[in-house]
Amino acid sequence: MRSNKLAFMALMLALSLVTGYVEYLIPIPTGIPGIKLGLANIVTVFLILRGQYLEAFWILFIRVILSGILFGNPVSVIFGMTGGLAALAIMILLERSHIKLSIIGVSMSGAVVHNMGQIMVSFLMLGTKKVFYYLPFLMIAGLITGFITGWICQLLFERLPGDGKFGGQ
Amino acid sequence: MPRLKTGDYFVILITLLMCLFIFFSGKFWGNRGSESSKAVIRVGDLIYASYPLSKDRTVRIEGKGGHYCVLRIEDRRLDIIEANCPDKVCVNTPALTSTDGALVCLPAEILVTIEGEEGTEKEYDAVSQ
Repeated sequence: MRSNKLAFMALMLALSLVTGYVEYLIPIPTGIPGIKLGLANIVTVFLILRGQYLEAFWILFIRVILSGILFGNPVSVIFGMTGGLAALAIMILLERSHIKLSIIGVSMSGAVVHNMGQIMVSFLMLGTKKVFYYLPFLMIAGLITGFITGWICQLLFERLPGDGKFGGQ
Repeated sequence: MPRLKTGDYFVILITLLMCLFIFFSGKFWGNRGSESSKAVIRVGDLIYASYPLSKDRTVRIEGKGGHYCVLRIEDRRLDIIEANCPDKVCVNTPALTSTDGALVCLPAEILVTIEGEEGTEKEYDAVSQ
């Protein structure tokens, strides 16, 4: 690929890796297991909004694996991957559909689906239906975190040259 | 400042409706338990131990990979107060007071639940009175 694009993709990967780590410094005192701000998905949503679906997939895929290796939590790879891929699929479908959604709506849908996917994985791993008790809380949390992520993405688009589609990458 | 379109509100509405539906479908509703309620601790696929809620105690659970969790049973509530896993998700989960939900430590493969009269189909490895 062109060196422009390579550099850009490397930047996206680094950004999503770092935001994924830094968000641990912001404690979310809801007490519900596994709630995160999901700031690393700003990059995923950003790429989807630019129409770079394949790139969004690769950055997500590599970032989940790398952060599992780097931050010493192999279990998170399974959860991050299933939740992330499900969210990615929904977001791409919604973005391409003719439904009147802003990027915030797309991001909220992605976050909700992501959390549903994580509960599903918990259910499969632990074999107890009791984990579904947390589903409503996680779905609402998905709305909130998706809103924040999507809004940040919207702000980015307003401030970047070419309205987000800069550099021809 | 955020620019929302009509579809966005539908996303919110539909999600909230699904939440309400799940919450009130009663399928996953637990109960506070009766005199025979017990705390059931599983490590991996096996039942590690089981304790009646009627007596306060502190239990150290040895999980997989060298991880452990310390479970406190007090006032018929279960809470994990200490663990050596990297995330401490288990410690931060609010205490269990009913058969809903579970205390989980994923790296250790520890699962703690409250079970009422139903009991379980598996053989107990150890039961303490």
